[in-house]
Amino acid sequence: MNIHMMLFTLILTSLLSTNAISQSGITGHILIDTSKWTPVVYLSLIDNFDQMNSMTNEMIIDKALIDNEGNFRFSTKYLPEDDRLYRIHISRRSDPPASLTIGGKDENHVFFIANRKSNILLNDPGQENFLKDMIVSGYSPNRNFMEINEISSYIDSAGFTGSAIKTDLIKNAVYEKLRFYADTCSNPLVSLYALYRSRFEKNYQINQQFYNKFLKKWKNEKSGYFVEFRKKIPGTQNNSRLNGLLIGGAGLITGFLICLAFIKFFKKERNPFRDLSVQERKIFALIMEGKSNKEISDNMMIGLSTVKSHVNSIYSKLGISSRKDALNFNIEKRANGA
Amino acid sequence: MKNLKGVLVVFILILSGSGYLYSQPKAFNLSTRIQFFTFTETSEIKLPVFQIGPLNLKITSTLFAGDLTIEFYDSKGEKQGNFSIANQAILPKPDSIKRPLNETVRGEITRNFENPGKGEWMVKLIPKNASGFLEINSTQDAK
Repeated sequence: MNIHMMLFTLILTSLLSTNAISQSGITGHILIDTSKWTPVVYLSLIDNFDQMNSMTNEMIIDKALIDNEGNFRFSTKYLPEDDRLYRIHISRRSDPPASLTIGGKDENHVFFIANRKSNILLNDPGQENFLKDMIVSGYSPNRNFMEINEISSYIDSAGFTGSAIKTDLIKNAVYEKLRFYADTCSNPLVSLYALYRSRFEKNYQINQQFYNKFLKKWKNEKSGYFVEFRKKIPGTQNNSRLNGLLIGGAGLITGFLICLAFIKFFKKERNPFRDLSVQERKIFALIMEGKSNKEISDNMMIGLSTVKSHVNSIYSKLGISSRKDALNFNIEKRANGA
Repeated sequence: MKNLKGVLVVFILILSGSGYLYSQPKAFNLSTRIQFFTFTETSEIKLPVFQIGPLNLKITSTLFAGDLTIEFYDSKGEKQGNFSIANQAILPKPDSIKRPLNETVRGEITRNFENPGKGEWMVKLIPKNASGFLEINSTQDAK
């Protein structure tokens, strides 16, 4: 019975998830003047925030026809699983498909965040700037994304009047608000986007602590967006390289010191008499007693030439060259406790 | 304009100041068109802003091949906008610069400034083997 229940649950879950994926997609509604605009919507993948104002044919990953009622749809089944930034745009009849218009009444694109399972709805509210004012819904990070656009557009429009000082004050207030957004937003991509809109390049030097905290918070984020951002923060890349060099250098020095200590330890502990054979030790002992080679030969009942050979070997192993050295050597070793 | 030698460049500059001869100008318009072929040198185009009043700046570029980044800066040197376009199409001969529409890439930026600072604004071109053309139009009405 339990197995049946488990199987049933498994199938149900599988069906539900399949259904969820099949429902995913990017759908939209836009009313265009087809005498001016080609009724095709192009979808581009924006790999990093610096590419938002870029256009190439290679960035376009899909296109969809706008039907007579203004509807269009893209599948998301082939999109990456993680959140990415996308752009849809349309082109004037006189322009190539790969055309980007920034600003003005003919601004032809809108950005949004999506992933493979997203169900994005793009709706033209019918206002004058039809694509600029498009409402993106269906995936919650886009609500924050649009709010950031709204905040930063206050500066972009440059519509406020007054002195240069007042303008600077307003800009600073907007950037501060964007930084607050970046600090409190739970979606990493949206959070980073807020920082990008706050002109962080100029602010980093005076607010380093904030950016270090931000990077620490999102240290596990490996997406291209964060990789590019880390490259832009002064010192981040250099510091990591410097840290690597310091760690490597410290490792080498430690290894060298350990080797040196081992060599010293073994040199100190090594008893040079160990290198002598039994026969040589006996001969060395007789040398210490002041015996000549002849006396040693007689004492040990070996040939004189053999004694000479052993004596030479002893000298070589102990690093000495005479009987006097041998006597001194023995005194030193005793004094050192060897 | 500097560093534009060694490339095929057609440069047309139209300046019109409707009140330029009068002591108090009413409008100042500037129109520039540049055509380039396998252009790689970074160049700067100066845009003089003589008077206080809303400034409209429009920069358009169509690229047949190569990469092109356009940036523009106000009189304080602060960046006010940019766009980049790139086209991987191969352009074998200068006489083949006319391309079918779908083989080109186009970028356009329009910005309005209510209070542009007086002084020298600048449009910076950063091309890489770029072939195509660029148009700069600025209009300013006196307050």
